[in-house]
Amino acid sequence: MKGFIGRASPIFMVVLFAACTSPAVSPPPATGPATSASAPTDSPAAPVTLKFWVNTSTPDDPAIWTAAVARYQAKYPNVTVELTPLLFEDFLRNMPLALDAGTAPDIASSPTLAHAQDRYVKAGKLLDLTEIAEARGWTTNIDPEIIAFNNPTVTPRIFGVPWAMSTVGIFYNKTLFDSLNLTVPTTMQEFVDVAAALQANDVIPVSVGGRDGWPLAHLWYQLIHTSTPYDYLTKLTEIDHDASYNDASLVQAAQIVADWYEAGYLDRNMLTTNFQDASAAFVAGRAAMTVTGAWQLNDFSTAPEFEARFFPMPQVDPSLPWHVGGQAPFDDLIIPLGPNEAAAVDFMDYLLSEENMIEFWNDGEIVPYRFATPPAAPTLLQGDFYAAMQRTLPGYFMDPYNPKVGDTIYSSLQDLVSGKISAQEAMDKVQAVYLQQSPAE
Amino acid sequence: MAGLRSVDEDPLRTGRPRGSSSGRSKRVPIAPYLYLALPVLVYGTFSLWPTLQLLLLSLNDWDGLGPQRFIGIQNFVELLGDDVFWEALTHNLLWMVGAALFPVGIGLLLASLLARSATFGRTALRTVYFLPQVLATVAVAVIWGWIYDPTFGAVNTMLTMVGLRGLAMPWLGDQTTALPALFITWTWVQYGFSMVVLLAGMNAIDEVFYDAAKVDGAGRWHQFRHITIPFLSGPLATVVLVTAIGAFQLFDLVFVMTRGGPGTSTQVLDIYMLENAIRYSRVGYGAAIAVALSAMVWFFSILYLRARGTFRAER
Repeated sequence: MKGFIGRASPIFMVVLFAACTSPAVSPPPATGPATSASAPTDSPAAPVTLKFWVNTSTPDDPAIWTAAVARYQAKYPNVTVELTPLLFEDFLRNMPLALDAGTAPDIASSPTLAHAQDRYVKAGKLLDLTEIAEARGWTTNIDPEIIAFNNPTVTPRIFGVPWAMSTVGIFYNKTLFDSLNLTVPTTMQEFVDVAAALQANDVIPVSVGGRDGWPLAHLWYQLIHTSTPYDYLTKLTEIDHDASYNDASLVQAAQIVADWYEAGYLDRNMLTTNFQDASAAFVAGRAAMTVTGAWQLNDFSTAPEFEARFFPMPQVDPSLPWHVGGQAPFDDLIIPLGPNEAAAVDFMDYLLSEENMIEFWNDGEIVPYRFATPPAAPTLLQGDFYAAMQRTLPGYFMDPYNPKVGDTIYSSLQDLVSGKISAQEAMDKVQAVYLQQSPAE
Repeated sequence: MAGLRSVDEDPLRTGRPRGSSSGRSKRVPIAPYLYLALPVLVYGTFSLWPTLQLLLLSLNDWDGLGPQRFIGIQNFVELLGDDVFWEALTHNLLWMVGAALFPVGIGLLLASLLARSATFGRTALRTVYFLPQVLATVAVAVIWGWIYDPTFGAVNTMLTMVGLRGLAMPWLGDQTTALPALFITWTWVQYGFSMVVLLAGMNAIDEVFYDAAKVDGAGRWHQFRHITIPFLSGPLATVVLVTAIGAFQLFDLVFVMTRGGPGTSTQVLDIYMLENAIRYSRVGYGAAIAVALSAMVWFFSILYLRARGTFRAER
């Protein structure tokens, strides 16, 4: 029997690891802060080393962070910032464990996941930034509504401040469009016509990383934000059971996804294509369009040999306000409780400063800073993004608010395009899981 | 029996030192316990204690950060009504049945060919056949992902070359073929282990039995059926058990190749456990899945060993 226990034990190492760590309260700050956290300062008083974790979507992303860290360290030589880039899922796995074990970083650029952040706050692991944000002018320089968007469960308190914005839509191969005399579609019918024309020219109209689930869900989010009233979607994010995922308008959006797949407008191999491969298909010119967001702005500004541009997904119901799924503030800067809180606040203050925001903007990020005079867009693609965000309204990624519902959306949409179930059945599946979730407290 | 020392006379068992009379002080030797202490400590620390913690965790509701809340067997009750859990379990069970047949069968066939025939380059072939076993699973998953790729993969390319383009398909993207495609990959990795163990077992069989059988007129099949297989019952049991348990430890291959999709068509318990414990912040529920998983491994192991014991007793 011992042998069996020994054999069986590796399979639940992850859970065992969690089991071995007690849900103990993190240790209190060992010493007083080097400087007052709320008041702006020129530099920390004593030499300090800050552990800084950043969520990255690709290994190349830390470039903007290494540059920011270098600028800060040049300005304040007594501060050393140890940068640790973590891919999205690694970040989500490691941060709770580190918070629990008392080994969390001093400051982090965390994925904006209301659900995860809410947990960190409820466990008392994060520094409350409400007063600091006001004293340092963050709530003046960044629209408070944008900050509130990322702090939905703790509003009006602030535990995270976004440093970048994103929107999701369609990147397209303008060179190819021009050669085929295609113009940017502004209505659903025009979009379908363009897709059909591309298909007739033996080009994959839209590449989607359907194997990963979430890129397919992003396409659906685009559609539900103009098939369904925004307030209704807000209720779904709040796990308000007055709203339901199998509402006719959400089913309609799912049906559009199925129809486009069936018609060949979406890559027929998308269920074996992950996010990276879908992007690669676009960059290589095999696909004329791809559905993704601002996190690929830099890649698509430089990698393709053609001119890549961007437009927002046309509206399903033009009578509804044009909200865009995933047009939202991006990652949050958060500060776990610890001995270096004050120095971390100073560093965060720099990251959110106009000086750094301009650098980020020039590096291709869409920043939430309210510039007195907006700087010129460094690329046409970035200009497209900025213009799109001026024309449209914020919207949700539906998955972060409840990852289990999110995963069910992924798998149901995969089932749908596989032809295993109908659009109604796909949404019924999501609704069944949604009903098992508890409303936000 | 007079010449043998009885158990009662063994100083290690009676606790009496050699040469001491029964009337003298009873000193318990500590040496055996010291020898046992280290393995017991290691086993207790790294196996028993975490297992106990896991059991306790499965009785709690815990998000991984806040306080734990004791909820008794509620997690297990919820498991019973969880469709994804049952689907994942079905996949694991199907995999286990397949694991007991295909990798072991292929390993047995190859071992027979290599052991009893004068094949040229046997050592080289053994190495080649065993090679997949030593490759990192993630590397295997990536390579087979390319092989199955619908656009440039070897499978579809070969089908097209031989005029069967109509059969080309997205193997990992189709709900009906994704699980079998994964299983083929896993079989490719696993058969080498079966082959090596069974080959070692075959090499240990005395040639005299085969010679005697030949004299009696037994052909190759009868030699295999009545000599090889009975002598291999021990190694076969080991191979079947280890391979079948491996079916419940599926994670990396599925995670890299399909992540349980498309839909939930390749979902397995280990991935579902991880999703619950980490992604959904339901550590207690994840622990309950782990407990259920280990209970099944134990159940099938005991069942199999009992059956094997009965079989051997009958023989």
